[in-house]
Order: sequence, then C-alpha cells, then structure tokens
Amino acid sequence: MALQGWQLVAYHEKTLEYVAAEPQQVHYDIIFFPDYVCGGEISPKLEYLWAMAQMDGWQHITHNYDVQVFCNTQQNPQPLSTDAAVWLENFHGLASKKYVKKWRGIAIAAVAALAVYIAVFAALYIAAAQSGNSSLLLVMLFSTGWLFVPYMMFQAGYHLYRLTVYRKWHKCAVISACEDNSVPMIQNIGFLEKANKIISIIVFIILIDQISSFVLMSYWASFFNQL
Amino acid sequence: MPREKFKTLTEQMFYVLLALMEECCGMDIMEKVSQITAGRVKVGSGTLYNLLEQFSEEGIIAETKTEGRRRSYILTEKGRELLYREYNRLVTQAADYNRITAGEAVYGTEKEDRKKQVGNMELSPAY
Repeated sequence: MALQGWQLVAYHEKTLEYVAAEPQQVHYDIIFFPDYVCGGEISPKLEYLWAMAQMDGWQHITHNYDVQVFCNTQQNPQPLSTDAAVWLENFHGLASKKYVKKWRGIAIAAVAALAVYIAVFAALYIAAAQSGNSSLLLVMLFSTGWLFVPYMMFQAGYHLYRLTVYRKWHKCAVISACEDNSVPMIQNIGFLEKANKIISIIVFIILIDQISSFVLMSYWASFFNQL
Repeated sequence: MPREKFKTLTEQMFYVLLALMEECCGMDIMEKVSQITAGRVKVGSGTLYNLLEQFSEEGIIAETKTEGRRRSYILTEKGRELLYREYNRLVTQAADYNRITAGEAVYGTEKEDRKKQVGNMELSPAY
C-alpha cells in the first residue's frame, strides 16, 4: 500500500485507515504493550519504548488496544522483536492476564448458570408437583430452556476450546522459540468467533422476547383477575 | 511445565547482560552487542525494551540515571551471578562437546568454521 502512495495512519478493530502520501517502501512492525494509558495520559513506559524504537528508525504510528504499530522507511530495518523467547514471554503474560482469564471465567460462568438453571427448575418442578399448581417462573424456565441450556453448553464448550487451542499453541511456541527463534502461527478460529457473536445476538433477542411476553402475560392476567 | 524464568539465557539475553557489565543506556547496549559479536547478534529495540523491563523487575539490572528519555542501567550482583552461571553452563557444554568429538571426523561446515577461527593456520589432525 505504501508503494502505491497510501500511508497507514490508524488501526481499528477490523479495519485499517490510510491517507494518501508519497509512494515509498515502508516496513511495518507491531509490539504488544498493555496498560499504555496511565492516569489518562500515555504511560512513561510507552514513551520510553517509542524513544527506543526511534533509535532503530521505527516511528510509532498508531495503536489499538494492546497493539502498538510502528513503521520504518529504512531499506532493510532491524525488526523490533529479535528474540522469540522474549516476545513469547511478553505475549503470554499479556494473554494470560487479559484473555485466558476471561475465557476461563466465561466457561465457568456458563457451567454455573447451567447448574443454577437446573437446580431452580428442579426445585420449582418438585414444588409444582406437590402443590398441583405450576408457577409462572417454572413455565418461563421450561419454555426458554430449549434455548438457554444448549446456548450455555455452547458457551462453555466454545471457551474451553479457545483455551485448549491457545495452550496447545503456547506449548509448541515455547519449543519453537527455544529451537529456532521463531513462533508458529496460532490456529485461526475466526469463523467460530463470528458464529459465537451471531448466535449470541439471536439468543439474546429470542430470550428477551420470550421473557418480556411472559411479563406482559402475567401483567394482563393480574389485570383481568382484578376486573 | 513452564520454563523457569532466566534459568537459561537466550543468546540475546546473554549479550545484553554482558554489555551491561558497564553502565550504559539502550542505544549503547544495541551498539555494544553488535560490536562484541562483530554484527552476528543484533538486538531489536522492542526486544531490548522488554528485556530491560524484565531484568529490572527481577533485580538483575538496576537503573542508574535518567536523562529525559535516556535511561542508563548496570548489572547488579544478582545479574553478575546469573551471567556467570550461564557462562559456566556454556563452557561445560563446550567442554562436553570437545570431549566427545575429540579425534573424530567432523562435518565440513564445522571444519570451515574452525578454519575461520584459527585463520589459515595448520589444523590439527582431528580437524
């Protein structure tokens, strides 16, 4: 792109932003750097990293979350990261803190939600069987269960799968970094991420729809009872 | 099992520590490493930044002064110990290699490496 006269200026979650510039050979490199903001201002540590990168001819262009993007117009620049073991240590520290914990948390939360659902449903079902009257909550749980139960199972499975993929990759990466100073590519599960987002949105809409219709039903039932 | 931090050093870690036997700042370290190794080992600025951060956290090096964006560091006693331990490990490995391969035929590339090391001197019969 730089050779065609487009200079990278910003890196958004899914898109890159370019502006028209003089065509030239530009090399790009990234560094993972968490907690770059300190009290609303750029952290001094990050400023120091920029200064160090500048010594090698690397100019900071933009950042997105923990990814700092640099460019270099030199012919054959020295990469920012030259030691795979150090890179991996840094990346793993960041991933463990931010992503691995989150995935593990979601998987545990999904299993816990499933357990709570089953416990409440069982308790209400037993109470209804004993009294002969079923509560509105039981009916609501019953009618949303076909969606809620598989969704929670999917969430637990999906996040456990992500954890497994990451751990497997990390194990290989440690060996590869020691043996030939390189890090292998991680398995791409982008399609699963997209599927998870779409499924979550659909499930959320259906659940809201069902719950709100139950609330409305109960409102109208009490209204007509009063009449 | 996770690898114990700094139990063994990578080549770049080793040379960064070696460069820090004397007080110096980031840019000096990069130049020094390149100089010591005759350009064979080059440390990228991102790697150097991460190493300096990690070494500081572990008390392997200490910051001596800050002048604007220039920070200088020096090896601590712990760092010297670590460097010496790594040196011993490498020497032991090299000694083991020599002991095992002594008197045996070696590969061509190694023969050429040896030639480079000793210049055009007559090589011993083992090589």
